[in-house]
Amino acid sequence: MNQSVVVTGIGVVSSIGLDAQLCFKSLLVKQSGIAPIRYLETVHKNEFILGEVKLSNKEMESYLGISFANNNKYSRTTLLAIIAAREAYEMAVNANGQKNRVGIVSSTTVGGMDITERCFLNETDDYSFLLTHPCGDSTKQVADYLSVNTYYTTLNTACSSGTNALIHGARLIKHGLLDRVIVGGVDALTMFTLNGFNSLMILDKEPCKPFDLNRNGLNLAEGAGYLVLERKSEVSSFLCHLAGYENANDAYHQTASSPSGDGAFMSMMGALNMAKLNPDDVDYINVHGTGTINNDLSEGTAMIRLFGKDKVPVFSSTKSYTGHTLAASAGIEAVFSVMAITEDVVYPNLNFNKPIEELGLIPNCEVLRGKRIKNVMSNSFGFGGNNSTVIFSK
Amino acid sequence: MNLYIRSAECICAQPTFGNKLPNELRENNDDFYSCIQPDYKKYISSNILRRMSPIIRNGVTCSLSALTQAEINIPDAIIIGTALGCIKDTTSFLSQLINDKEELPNPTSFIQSTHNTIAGQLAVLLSCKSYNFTFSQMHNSFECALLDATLLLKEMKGKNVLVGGVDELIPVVFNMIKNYDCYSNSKLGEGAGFFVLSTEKSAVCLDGVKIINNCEVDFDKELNHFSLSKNDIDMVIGGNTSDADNSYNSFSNYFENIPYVWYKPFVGEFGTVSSIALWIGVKAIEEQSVPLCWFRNGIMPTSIRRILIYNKKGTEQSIMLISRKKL
Repeated sequence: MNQSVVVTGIGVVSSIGLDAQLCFKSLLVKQSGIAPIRYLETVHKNEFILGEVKLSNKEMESYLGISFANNNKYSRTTLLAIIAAREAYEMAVNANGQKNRVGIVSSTTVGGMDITERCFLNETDDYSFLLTHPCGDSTKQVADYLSVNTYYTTLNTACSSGTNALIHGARLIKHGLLDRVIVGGVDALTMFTLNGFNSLMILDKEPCKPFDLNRNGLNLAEGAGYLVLERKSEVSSFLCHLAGYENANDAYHQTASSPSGDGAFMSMMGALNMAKLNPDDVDYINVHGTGTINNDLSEGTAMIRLFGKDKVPVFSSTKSYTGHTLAASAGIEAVFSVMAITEDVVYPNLNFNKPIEELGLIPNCEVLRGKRIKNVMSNSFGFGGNNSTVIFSK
Repeated sequence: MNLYIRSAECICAQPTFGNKLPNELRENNDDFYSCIQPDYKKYISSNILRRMSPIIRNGVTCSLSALTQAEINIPDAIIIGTALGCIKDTTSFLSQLINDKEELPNPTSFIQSTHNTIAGQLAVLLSCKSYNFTFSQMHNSFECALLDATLLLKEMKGKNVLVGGVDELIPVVFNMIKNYDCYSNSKLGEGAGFFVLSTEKSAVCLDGVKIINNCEVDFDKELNHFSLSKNDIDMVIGGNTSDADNSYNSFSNYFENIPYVWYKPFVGEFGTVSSIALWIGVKAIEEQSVPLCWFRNGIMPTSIRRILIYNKKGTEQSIMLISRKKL
């Protein structure tokens, strides 16, 4: 059971690129994907900026080289999931061949809501959206598309979902229930989530400013990010180790993070313990860093508690490029974390000017090259007090 | 490593809550089966209760009762499965924002629309800062939660895990879901089944949970996987929704002449209904008897040492095995 788990494939689609390499290029040239609304149907079209994937559903189909007889059968969520999961899966297959028992553990917060809300809007009697609405639908579609259906399941723990999918998937590999598993998350932009986060008044109408004194909320976004996990003993090549992970709960409030950052502290600490690393060993933290007043203060407080005021590792929030992609964020940021290790690079945080007074923490704002990046920590926190941390190692 | 079910609680259309297996089944002439509501106020203060939708009330109440029975204050993990999640709050937020043309809808239903609201609420109410997962994979949502719980315990990450399945059905959702093809021959329902799964010995052992994504199941092979054969099974609990439900033919044929309990005709069909089946199984082993009204084939068991629970909806299938352990 104490099997080493390794990452053998990565795939991502986001507002800064349709695959891992394109996203990576955008990160290095500080190119954000947050822009005025082009695809989402909403009365707020001219009010907010979003991290949309720059393809219509039809264009995604042709990008994938597939065409669906019944468009209503495939939500935008499913299309995004297939794009990223296929990239990750093909990389793993190319590196290590076919495996017997392959599954997928995905995650999403609103599943096929894009189709559901279209049906609600049109007040149709067509209830086919019931097939695409459940969170599990996009996962099953990917499982069928890639023929990886020995086991498929879906997590929904809000914005920490992607890491929790990774944790469950890693467990299936460690216990020998699967030989290969695709893990990660997906969410498409919807009127539902845009209005939901707007009703909470945590949307910034300007590009988000993670960890900045004058941060004013998040930019909602969409995308998908997946990794492939396998047992180290059964592969010939891999990208990096999955060294540690932990899920903990803030047990404070349904939507807000605690001022003391208890949940975040516990998830980071637990992941370090599992990885058998000291705080000093962490070379880079890809923070949750949504850009909301509450998250960044709470997360920063937890980081100072864990690492010490002057010893917080180099960190940045790539949500300043992609926006907050909800369940997909942990999957996307896990892919970025893996690439930080394979390419020995730390990404810049955009839009930062002044540190938060209580914290005094300054994120990394330039492309850092030339230092060996051995251990990367990635945080993902969600509603329901749900906090998750994962650590990847060379 | 053996895992035990230390306590079990159930809320559904039958009088199961805080109860043994009912001797009589309630008839229901409504369009769908609604839960018999327990006295929520015994478990949740009224100011919190007021804001909770049915799924949160039932999930939280069922959980708190299961924990009390197991004499556990704070579990080492909370793992929940739900097929459709907080569908009442979801549809209400969606309708509201469409009716008001996206003019600042009330955030309360959005906040509570997330699938993990039940597990999150439990964390706050119990001050439980540990592992907190919510699975949502349609008809295997509960089984995925149960599988994760078994793996967590085998890793010695704790001794007692609260694990359950819960779904709600409200008229607006019923009016949509009844059109869902796979439910066409079923009366629909709602409910919750929660358990404390533990490494500490008790009367009921969870021998395994297996999720199978196939059109057919080879029961010989599956039993063999657990080093068992058909003769080791004293009773089965099947997921037929009615006599007309022929998707269980190969299962019923395989276990012909073995005592056969069914339950969906009395509680309805829903995504996490197999959690109700597990509750029935736990009670049957604890009480070593099942009232006649629950049997489908009229064959009664002499002793109940081992039960197989089988659920199937389309290609999503699952097997759960439980057995009696002498204390």
